[in-house]
Amino acid sequence: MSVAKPNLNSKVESNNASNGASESLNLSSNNVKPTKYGYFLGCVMPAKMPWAEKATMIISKHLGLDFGYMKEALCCARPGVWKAISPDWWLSLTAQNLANAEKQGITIVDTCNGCWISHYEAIKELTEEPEKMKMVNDQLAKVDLHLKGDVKVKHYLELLHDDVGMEKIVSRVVRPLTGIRVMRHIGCHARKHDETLPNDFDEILRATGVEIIDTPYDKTCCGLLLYFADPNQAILERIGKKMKTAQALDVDAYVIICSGCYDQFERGVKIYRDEKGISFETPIIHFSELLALAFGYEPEDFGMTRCRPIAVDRFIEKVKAITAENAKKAAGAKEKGDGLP
Amino acid sequence: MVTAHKYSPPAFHVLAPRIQKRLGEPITVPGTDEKVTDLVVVHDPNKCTGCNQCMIGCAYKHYRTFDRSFALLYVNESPDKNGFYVNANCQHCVFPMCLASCPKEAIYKDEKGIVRISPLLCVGCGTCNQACPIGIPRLDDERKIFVKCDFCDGDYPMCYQMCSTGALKLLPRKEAFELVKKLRSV
Repeated sequence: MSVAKPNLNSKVESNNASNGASESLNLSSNNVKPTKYGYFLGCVMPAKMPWAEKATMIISKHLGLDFGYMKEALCCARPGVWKAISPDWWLSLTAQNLANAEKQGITIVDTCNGCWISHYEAIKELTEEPEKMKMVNDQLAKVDLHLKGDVKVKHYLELLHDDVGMEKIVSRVVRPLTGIRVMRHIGCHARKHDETLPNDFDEILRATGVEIIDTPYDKTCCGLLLYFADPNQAILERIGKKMKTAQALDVDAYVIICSGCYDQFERGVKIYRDEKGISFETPIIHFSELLALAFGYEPEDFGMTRCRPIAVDRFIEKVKAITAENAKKAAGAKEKGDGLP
Repeated sequence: MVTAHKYSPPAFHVLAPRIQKRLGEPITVPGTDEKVTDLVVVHDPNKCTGCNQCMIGCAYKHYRTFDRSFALLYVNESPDKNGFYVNANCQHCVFPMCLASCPKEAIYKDEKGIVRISPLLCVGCGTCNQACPIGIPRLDDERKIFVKCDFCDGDYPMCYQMCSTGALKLLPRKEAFELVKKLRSV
């Protein structure tokens, strides 16, 4: 693909604590300078979506963000489960992440909606209700932590849209993905407060040049929590309907951002394939991958083809074809321009 | 001298004033400092994604299971519109039809304004389900009595706390009515 390739010399630092990577040995010492934004991976991202993790790190560095992994990260304590069991347990577990981030002086950045809503609502509830803050700090004292409530929590979309800015994102697009048709799924929690995050999501997607196809099932939940309660309905009525719509409309990709949703999409696709003999061909692509491609990175730079329930080869071929066509058009225009008197 | 034991009858709960005056502590409206005694849960179908977290939270709160068939409110996909989710949850009516219809006088409105079914008096006839405009009371298969939303005993209801998209709102009755009117006109 003849695209101005970004500089890959500045390798992404891999000081991932929750992966248990070898680099994590250095984490307990204070040698590594903390970054401004601490990326909270969550549970699914390192286990099932290495390509998305890498792509997110690549684009964040590419956009000049002071971005690294959050150290000493624990489970986000998913509110969908823990809040029902005990709101106090949920607050205490989530507060441990918040206290760690506060100690490190970072802003927590989440790409998973579940992690984001857990952190966001916990810090909101704790700062508004001093009694709960006291209860949580009593629990945290057992592990030598203290939460003042100064920590900031951001969704990755918020970070890109507000802190980086659309102008900068648009200016970095060197490979417009014009001609790629996608369906998108942002996930439930991102819709909780207002329509800001869904709008940001669409705006950034459109900046890459893709065409967004609207369907009635765009809003529909992926069925992750419902899977524990009613697996049949979660797969047939949620993932089944979404993926069948994508298949019928022959879109090139299903773009997601939430790791929890991806977990459910992958599970649904595998169950359909193994138990019902139905294979869906629409690849499920992370939002960061699309941005990385638009910024000129190659699929190999973030291992796009690996660990996929649905192969992305056809999608990559289409991106290559579009790139070649764009290059041809650009060359033609240049020649035409040169011939002018 | 042996004195005869004097029999004193047990103090029965008086059911006569069936719609009682609300005497409970006022509840704070979420996000404000306002305190009211009459909050209701309203569902905005435009925001609902059908995640069913409300049903699962409700089932866990009342039955300690994640099986949503135990929930006391219901969210389903609209038969008329794909990808549009509708809900039915108890509004704890000012003049409840279920209460008026119960032949055993098992339904009452408590001091917090919560419409409850007494499990001791209910015989499981199902009249309340027929009388309710949205069929809220449902049969508890194990106990063979009818059960319904108890507004989580006056706390912020678990369905409202669990809602992942903010489709369930907790509002004073007057504001809730305004919102429903607005949603219907849309």
